[in-house]
This record gives sequence, C-alpha cells and structure tokens, in this order.
Amino acid sequence: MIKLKNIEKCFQTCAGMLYALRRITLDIEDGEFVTIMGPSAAGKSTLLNILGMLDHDWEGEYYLDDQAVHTLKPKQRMALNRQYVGFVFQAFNLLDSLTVYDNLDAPLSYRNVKASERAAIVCDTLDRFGIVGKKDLFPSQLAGGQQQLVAIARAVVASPKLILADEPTGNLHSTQGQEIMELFKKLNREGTTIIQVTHSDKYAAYGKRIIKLKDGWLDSELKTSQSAGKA
Amino acid sequence: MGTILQDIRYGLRMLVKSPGFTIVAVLTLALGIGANTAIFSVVNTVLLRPLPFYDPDQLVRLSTVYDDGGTGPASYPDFEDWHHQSQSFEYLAAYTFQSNDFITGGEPERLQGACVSQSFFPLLGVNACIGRTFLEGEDQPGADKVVVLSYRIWKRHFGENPNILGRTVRLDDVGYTVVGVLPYDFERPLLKGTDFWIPPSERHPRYRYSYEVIGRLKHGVTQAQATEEMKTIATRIAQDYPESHSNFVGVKLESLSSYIVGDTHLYLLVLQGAIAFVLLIACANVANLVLARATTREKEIAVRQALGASTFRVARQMLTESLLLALVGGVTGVLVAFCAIDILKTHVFWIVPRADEIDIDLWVLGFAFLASVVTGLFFGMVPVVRLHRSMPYVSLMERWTMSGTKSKLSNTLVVLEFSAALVLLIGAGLMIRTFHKLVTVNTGFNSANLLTFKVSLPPSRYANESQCLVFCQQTLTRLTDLRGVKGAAMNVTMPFGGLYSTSNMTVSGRPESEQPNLDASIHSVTPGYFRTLGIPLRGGRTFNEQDIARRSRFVIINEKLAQVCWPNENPLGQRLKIGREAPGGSRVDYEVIGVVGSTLQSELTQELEPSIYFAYSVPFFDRNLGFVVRAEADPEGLVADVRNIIRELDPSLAILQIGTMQQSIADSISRQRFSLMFFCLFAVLAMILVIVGIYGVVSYVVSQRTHEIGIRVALGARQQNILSMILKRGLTLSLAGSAIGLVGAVGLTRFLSSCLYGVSPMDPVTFAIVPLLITGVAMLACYVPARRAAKVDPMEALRYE
Repeated sequence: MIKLKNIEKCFQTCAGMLYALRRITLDIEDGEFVTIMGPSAAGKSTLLNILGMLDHDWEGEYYLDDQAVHTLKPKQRMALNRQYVGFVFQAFNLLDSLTVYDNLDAPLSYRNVKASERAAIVCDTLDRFGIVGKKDLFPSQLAGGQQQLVAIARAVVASPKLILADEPTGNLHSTQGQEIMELFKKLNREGTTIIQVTHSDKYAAYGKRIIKLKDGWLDSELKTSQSAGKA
Repeated sequence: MGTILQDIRYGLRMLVKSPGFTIVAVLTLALGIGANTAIFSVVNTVLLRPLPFYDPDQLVRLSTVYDDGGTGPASYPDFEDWHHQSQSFEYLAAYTFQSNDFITGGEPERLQGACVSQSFFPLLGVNACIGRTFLEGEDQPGADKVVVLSYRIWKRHFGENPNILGRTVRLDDVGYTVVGVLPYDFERPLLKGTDFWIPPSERHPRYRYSYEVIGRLKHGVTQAQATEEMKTIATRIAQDYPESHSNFVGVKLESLSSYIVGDTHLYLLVLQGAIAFVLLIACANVANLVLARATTREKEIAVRQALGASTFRVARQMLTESLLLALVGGVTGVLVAFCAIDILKTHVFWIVPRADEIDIDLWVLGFAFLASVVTGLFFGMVPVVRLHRSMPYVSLMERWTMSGTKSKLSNTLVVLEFSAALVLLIGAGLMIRTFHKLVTVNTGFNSANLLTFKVSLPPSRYANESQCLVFCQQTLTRLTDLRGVKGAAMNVTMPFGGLYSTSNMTVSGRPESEQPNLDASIHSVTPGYFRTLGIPLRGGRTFNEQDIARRSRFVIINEKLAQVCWPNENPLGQRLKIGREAPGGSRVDYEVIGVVGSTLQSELTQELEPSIYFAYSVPFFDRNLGFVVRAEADPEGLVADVRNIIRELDPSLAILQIGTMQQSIADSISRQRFSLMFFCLFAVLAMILVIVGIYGVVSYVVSQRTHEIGIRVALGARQQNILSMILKRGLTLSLAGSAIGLVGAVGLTRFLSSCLYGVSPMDPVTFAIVPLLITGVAMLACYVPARRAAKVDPMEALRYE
C-alpha cells in the first residue's frame, strides 16, 4: 500500500541544516499493523505526518496505493488524505465547541457526504463504539479515555483505508490504553491498515512489525508475534 | 489612597508596556471624543451660552401678529406708539439693515449698515470706545445726520485716527458726522458684520413694515404680562388706523436668544446625536481591544486572586487603567477639537448664528472630561463584568481554552457598533438622497452661464425715475454689446438674489368673498428678462420698450397665479389690483398681457409661488437694480468687463454680490450641503471604526482558533470550508447588527425630517441599499483574516511540543 524511497526532511536553523529524517525507505502492505518506535526527536511524528500528507516539505518518493504522492501538489495530496487517511492524535484534538456527534460528523461533511448519509454513518459509528449515550456531550465533559475513544471513532467514521495514530495512549492510563489498543487490533482485523507511533513496547507488540528510528535514520525492523499484547 | 496611587502607577506602567495597544486605543478615543467636543462647542455657543449682553434673559423680540397667524416686522410709527404707550419695557428699540456706498475719496465701497432708534445701544448696554452713541432726539426727523462707525471701518479707512470725531463721511452721497466708534470686540449677535449705524432721518409710512423691534423687559415683568399689554396696544392702534392695520391682532414676544437661534436648535441637536454614535462605536472598538488584552492577562489576574486579591481590588485596577486610557484619549481629543474648530467655523458661518463666537471654553472642556470618564467606565466595565463571571482557577490549568463568555461579549460589542454605524450610514444615505433631489430641482429657468450682480443707485444722484431708467438702459445696452454675451436683463428681485418682495393682490371686479386672498411675489423687470433667464412664455406676450415708455398698466403673471385666480378661464386680458388701499388713494387695475412659467425665488425647497411681473419703473421704480447676463461660455470671464462698464457709467457706484447664478443657487442649500458633509464624514468615520472592529474581532478569533483550524484541515477540511466557517461568523455579526441597526434607524431617522427634502425618513431605497453596502464591506474586512485562516498549515497548528 505504501512505498517510501529515500524520504528526507530537514530544517534550516541558525546552527545549520537539521535533518529530521534521513533516507527513509520502507514498504507497508495493505492491512498491516505497523509500529514506529524510537527515542525522542528520532523523527517518528515527522514520518507519520508525511505519511498522512499533512507535511508537504520533504524530499524523496512516496507511493500510496501506486499513486506518486511526491509528484502531487499539496491540494491533490489533501484530496488523497481525505480518501485514504484517518488520524488519531496524542492530545485527542477534539473540537471543543462541538458535541461528540458533531465531532464525528465533521470529517464526513468535509468529504461532501450528503446529510442523510452522514446521519446514518455517525449513528452507526456511535453504536459501534458504544458511545451513543455520549453523543450530545462536549469533549470537556468526557474523561480522557472517552475522549480518545471519540477521537478514534472520528478517525474511522469516513472508513479510511489507513489509520495513523500518533501516541494514541500517551495521555491515558494503562487500562484505558489497553482498551484503545484492543480497538485498534479489531479495526486491523477488519482490514484497516494501521501505523502507530508509541514509546511502549507493550503496545508496540499489538502490531505485526516494529520500525525503529534513530536520529532520523531507519535503525531496524522487527517482526512481532500477532498474539502478543497481553501484559 | 495609597492603593489607589498604586493602581494608577501600575496602570500607567501597563499602558506604556503595550505601546501598540495604547496608541490604537488612544487614537480611536481621540477621534470619538474630539469630534464630539468640536460639535459640542457649536451647541454650547449657539444653544447654551447666554447672549453676550447684560441680563440677556430680559431681552425679547417683538413682532406684529396678523389675523392669519403670521408674524412680521413693524413700521417705525408703530414702534414709536409701542414705545410711548408700553410700561413693560425698560427700553424698546427698532432697527433695520441697509447697505450704502461709503465714499472716502477712493473707490466707493458698499458697506453693510443699520438704521437704529436712539435707544438701541442703551438697550444692549453697548458704549462707544471713542465718542458716544446717539442722543435723545437724534432719531427724529430733521435732526442732524450723525453716524457711529465700527472699529473695523475706523481702522481700515481712517487708520485708527483719534481725531475721527466730527469728521464727515458720505453714505450714498449724503454727508454724516461721525459721533462715535464702537469697541473692537463688538462682534455680537444682531450687529456683527455691520459697519455703521445711523438713526432714521425720515419717517416711512405706517404701512411700511420694515423694522425689527427688540425690548428689554423691566425687572419683575414677565413675558406673558408684556404680551398682554402689547396686545391691548396693538388693538388700539388697529382701531386708530383701520385702513392699514385691519388684520393686526397683537404683538408676539419671544426671547431674543430663541429668535437668533431660530430653527437651528433641532438641527444642531441632530448633529450632536449623530456624532455621539461615532463615540459609541469608538467605545465599542476600544472595549473589544481591552477585552482581548484582558484575556491575555487572565493568568496574571488568577495569580493575584490566588494570592488574596478580592474581586473588587482587581476590578478597581482594571477600571483605573481604563480611565487613564480614556483620559489620555480625552486630552488628545481636545487637541483634535482645537484643530477642528477653525475648520468647523468656516463651514458653519453662513448657517449657524453666532458661529464666530465658537470656541472651547470651560464648559466644553468639562464636556470633554465627562465624555472621557463615561467612555472609560463603559469600556472599562466590559472586562470587569467578565472577571465577575470567570473561573480564575481554570486559567491556571495547563491546557486552557478561551471560554464562551469572551466571545459573546466581543460579538455583542461588534454587533452594537455595527448597528450604530448602520444608523449613521442610513442618515448619510438620506442626506445624499436629499441633496440629489435638491440639485435636480427644476428652478423654472435655465441657470447655466448666468452672471448676476447688483447696484444700488444713491438717491442723491438718481433722484427720479427717468435717471434710474436711463442708467438701467445704458447698462443693459453695454452689457448686450459685450463679446460673449447672449443677452442681459434686469429684475429688482432677482431669483436667489436675497431680495424678496410680496404684495397682496385682488382680482378686479370680483366680490370680496370670492377673492383668492393671497400674497404674490412682485418683480420689476426689463424687456428681455424672460428670454435671458429662459423662462418659457405660456401665453400672450412679454414686455417691450413701449410698455415702459407709455407706463402701460400691464402685468405678466406666472402659471401658479393663473391657476389660483383663473383656474377655468383664460387669464389674458383679466385685470387685478396690487397691495392694500393706501390712505387717501385708490388702487388701479393692471391688465394681464402674458403668462410665463413659474420659477423658484429663494430656496430650492420652497413651493412654487404666485408671481406678478411689472415692467421696470411701472408702477414704481426701485434704485436697487439686479442685473443678469447670459454668457456664451463661462460667465466668470465677464466679471472684469462688467466692472469696467459700471465704472465708466458711474465711477462712484459699487457693484454688489457679483457671481454666477449657479453659485447663488448653491449658496441657498448651504445648510443641506453642510448636513450632508458632516453626516457623510461621521458615517465614514463610523464605517472605518466598524471595519477595524470586525477585522480585529475576526482576526483574534482566527488566532485563537488556529489549533482548531489545524485539526479541521487534518480531518479533511478544504480551504473553502475554513473560509466559509470564518466568513459565516462575520456575516452573522453583520446581519445581527443590521437587524438592530434598522430598528434603531426606524426610530431615529424621524428626527432628521427637518433636514430632508423630497425623501421620507423611512425611504425604502436607502433602508435597502445601506445594510447591503455595509454588510458587503464588513465581509471584505472579514475576508483577510478568513483567507489567513484558510492557509493555516496544519503542521504548525498541531505542533504541541
């Protein structure tokens, strides 16, 4: 599904050029559950943002479903983002002024889905995630775990082929984190490709493959056991 | 006290620490307070300040009251009877303005003077700085001809020569002995602009009503009591002189101050109200700025409260800062007002009485101070109200977002200023429509390329009719012979020339009960007048030279008179009589030989009135001649030639009021032009403040919602989604402001009725276009920050390390 070839990203600072990513080359298959790990400032989130086509300032080749993203203009990339990607943030990033229902509705309205269809999809997603009773609440009225649940629901409401999760359990305690990871596992079983960034070995084991970054370089790749994930 | 000083010190420090905010707020306030102070200086001078005479409350104006309810000036004999018979007045005086040629050896100069009774100066409490004013008996027929000069004339013509007393000056070739000079600061209502004062040397008939009468009530006598007494006196006079006073029913008294102010008080109050809206908008703008600034200081406030500061202490600090800001704005505003006053005076001079007295006195400074304090409290309360409602501990949490209260307050302020601006803009729109109606009014004649001027023939050299006629004909012949002149004519009471004469008229052979009972304007014209002015001939013929030579009793009437007097008949050949029966005389018939189109006489807003035209010198001749010349091109190019012609005919004649007819017409609507200018200025100021306000609020919202916008883009929002989200906010504010503004305009524009012409205060065109216009401009103001929002890089927005 994803092919990266010599992806590089750098920043100009007063101390000179700073490389966030150096010649990253990797392939990710359809339906894979991949974890990206590494120390702080390794370039994990940067790589995720490039994969999600939120960051346009990079070099190299990036193919998404055989489409050459590197040749596309930012507007075209965002169109591809809408078609393929759902993003889950560490800080949840729910829209505080909207209810849970409206937060789920937002991505669908940006994809020009008709109102009647949107209503059906949102209701279905609320039901699927067991948060129907919370649909009229505002994010500030939810606990952290519930907020992340809503954030994941929002990420999948438009049925993306690819979910990018940047430290989705970073602000949750272990029980909540485990629930979230089980959910990801379930989504992956249903066919969604998932790429997550995490510091936790325990949560990394939920994925099939671990890619380790260090100082912007691809340090190593490991395969994991699919049944791992229990403490 | 110590803590208050602490608050002041801290407040000043905070203002200095944020120079950008302080400068913008001070300038905004200076604009609003300065403009209000400048207009208040006019209101203060014209409406509030007492007349600059001693005991001004005792001064009244007297006018004759007619049985139809109308009022008018008195005749000198009537004034003398009032003076002798009344017990209510300490002084009664009469005056009438006139102009004469002042001859001192050089080029004659036409001066504005006044013919006044002996009691005039004592009534006003005015003394000469050199010599004296008039003595008892000097205003009686046969007395020596004496004159009191203004300081201005004494300085200009005599170089402040102290030996001026006893010198003889010539007014229209008649010698007058100078007995006094008024002080240099004698520029007061009624007599400013007057260069000389003479007592009446002859008595006009009792039926010549040309004198204004003023009185000083005795202490203890009320206006009502004096009115009652004068009514008795007027009734007695009417019984004694039934031929000329049959329709006199009394004497009206009004305070001299009210008379001088006239109908300008409502007009000035409308202006003051309009500029108050600008201050309101400025306040709302500054309130929003203060609110935004308070938001950034919430953590500081939360810490203060956590350290033990009460809400009152924190609120007092914020109010102190706001008042300091307002006072600095007020001081700057007064400086703005000082600069604006001179400009204001030149524009209102012809429209508002006592305009030359306008200045900034202690009352005006007090107004500026009060306005500063009120505005400071107004916008200072806004963050205090929010402080009262906020949960300070929330701002101490790491992840804190702007609460809805700030948004609501901010939105309310924007809606408030939008609605105020809309009211002003609708006012300006109504003024524009009025002005457009005025400038397109059909005057009834062709005013293009017309040059007009006047001369006043002195009786000493033009004693009889034939001398006046010869001068008039010679002037017209020479004017017509000029290159570039298509025609020339004369009318004693030229349209828009400032002179206006009316007379009662009756239809000959009709019983009293069927008479039209109207006054018609009277004109004395030369042949060729109608052709020169482009007044169409509807029937019959115009005058010719034979009519003048034979003194034929012919008249030409206008369509309006024909409609009123002979609605179903041909007016040609009909006969009419002019004026009231003079004592011992009988009126003669005049035959109607022509009907011409109706014209406006003095104001574009007046209705067409009945007019009667006589051939010049029939039945009377007038020494005040109004000439009109139709030029082939620019009439101003003929001015020098006209001066040469008059100088050649009579070197000692002064030319008066030479200018184009179009300028005279434009001068007649100077008040409307002034209103338009000021309303448009206020409206533009208001619009600028509102645009800045909306731009500021929307920009602030965008900056606060950058994170949210980044999330939306990451979720798939397109640029147009973000653009429309931001623009929708601006549109909502604009529509809410428009709705409230329209309601306000419906209630307030009726106060503009007296300033409007041909336009209803609820003119649907204006009410439809203005909201669309201001909403459109507001949307443009929102577009810039909206565009910025649409270009938010989600990467920047979501960066959380």
